[in-house]
Amino acid sequence: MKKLLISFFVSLCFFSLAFSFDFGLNVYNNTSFLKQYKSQTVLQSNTAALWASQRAENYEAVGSISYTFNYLQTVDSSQIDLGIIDLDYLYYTRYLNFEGQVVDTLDVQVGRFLTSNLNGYIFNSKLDGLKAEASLNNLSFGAQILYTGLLLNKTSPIKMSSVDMINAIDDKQIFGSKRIVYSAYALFDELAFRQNVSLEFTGQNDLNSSGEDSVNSYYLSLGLNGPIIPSLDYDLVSVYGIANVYNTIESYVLVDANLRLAIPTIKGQLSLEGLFPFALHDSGGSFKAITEKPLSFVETAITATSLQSLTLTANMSLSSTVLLSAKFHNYFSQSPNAFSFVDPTKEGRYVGSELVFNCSLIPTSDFSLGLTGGIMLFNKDLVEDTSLNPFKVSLTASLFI
Amino acid sequence: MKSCVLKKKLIVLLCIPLMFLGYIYTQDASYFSDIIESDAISWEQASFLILAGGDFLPEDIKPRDAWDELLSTYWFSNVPERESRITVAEFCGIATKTLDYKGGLFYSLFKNNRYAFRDLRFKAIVPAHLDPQAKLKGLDALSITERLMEEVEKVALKNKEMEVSE
Repeated sequence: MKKLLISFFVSLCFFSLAFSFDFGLNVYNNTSFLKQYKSQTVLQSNTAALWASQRAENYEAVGSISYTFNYLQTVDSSQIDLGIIDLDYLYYTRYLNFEGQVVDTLDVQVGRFLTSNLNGYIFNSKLDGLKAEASLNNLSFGAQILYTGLLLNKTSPIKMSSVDMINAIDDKQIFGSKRIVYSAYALFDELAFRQNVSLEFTGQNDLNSSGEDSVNSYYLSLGLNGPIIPSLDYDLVSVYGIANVYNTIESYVLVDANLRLAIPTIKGQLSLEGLFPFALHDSGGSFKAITEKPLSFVETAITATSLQSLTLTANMSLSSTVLLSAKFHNYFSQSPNAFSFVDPTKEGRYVGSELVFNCSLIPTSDFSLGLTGGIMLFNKDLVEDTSLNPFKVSLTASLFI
Repeated sequence: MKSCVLKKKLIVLLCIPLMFLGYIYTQDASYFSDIIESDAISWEQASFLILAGGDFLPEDIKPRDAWDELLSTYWFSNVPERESRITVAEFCGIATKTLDYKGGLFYSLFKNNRYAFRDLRFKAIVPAHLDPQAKLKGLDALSITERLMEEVEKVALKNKEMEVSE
């Protein structure tokens, strides 16, 4: 056995010398304390991810497998979730160069990889499938086709229909919601006046059920970004979505406007972002994304598409190893029925504000620490049961071996 | 105090290219230009760059003898061929050891090429596009040596400042 292990490691070393093979272990720990209404929760999440990669000039193969276990402590109970082993990545990317032919470059990626639509508001998750991107001068265009049904039920972020919700809490289900997600996009780099333009079509079809229980949706996105003056740039995204929800057609619009001011003297940046999702149909409700993008640190139910928000962010580097950031969110309800916390019988749209501070310490290439604290200040006239403003403190430590 | 530190930094920054220039004039200039133009430098050329840059090479010594100087450190368990091509990670490993670079947690523990490369890439001393197992170009080797020396000097100055303030 000992001989076998030695020969395995020796062959691994030779393999690594010959083919640029590398492997390692990343360990993450996140301990958070949440005070919410009448409850107090301590959650400790521990993850170990074993990864391996093989890179060359024209290809890359990466794999990562992780094990996570959680410990949850409330006032009157404690729970240990022994967790699961999950496949994070397993992909092969081929970089092809066709200088002077129909396209300049073509990158093809196949397997399980982290992907998103261009702006990340429609989907942003690890998924299984195929992605291809080509470039020609200042034009890049690409397409991807992905399947969601191989993600584990416990970790799948896709919960679009009532069938998805029911399956998500069913322990007998091994895999998550089965959907086909696809997108095609074009990016025009510095089209005019150094402005970049992007255009994208995204869609998803429900494979879990047909007819009355299914949710199919399609989106069209237009993005503009570029500098206004050298230290000030902007990002403008608009998404039009149409969804067939239980045989009813719903339509939505999401507008995201972001202004960023760079302050080189303090190695910092100030940004102001307005995110406005709203429903065009009569029944209200909120923008239906394939995966939800988290927005709030304290209240996880608040996502980028569940509430409208206006956010002021300040970032600065104290040194090359210490980074500070502060965020001030203001949340607004899209309609009386749009968010579960909002009492629909009460008038007004301002839901509340949230203040979040973060300090990241990255002293070396193999270790990092992060401390984040946030407090939610709900509007007592609109939100029920706000006897205490919830707050959360989180400490993260990462070790890269 | 601040202007004094700035002056010291300026002197250090000026000294680094001057050390190389000094060797170009006092030693074989064509040997140095061969290194710069090379698409894949050898162990011997790498040892000259690092030792000359770190001012560890006596002026009367020939460039080709730098390799023997490096061998006298007994850092190698398996001595490579002097004319064999050095990889990016190997160069990082030997440069960090020679210039006495204080790295991260795992570099301090193992002092091997893998963690040396990872540390130097994290500090943007090694360009992000360089593969650890790729052969190293002469210009890249020169750039890595210069930046690493700046980093080592910066840390030394910071330590001195702390000692003075204490």
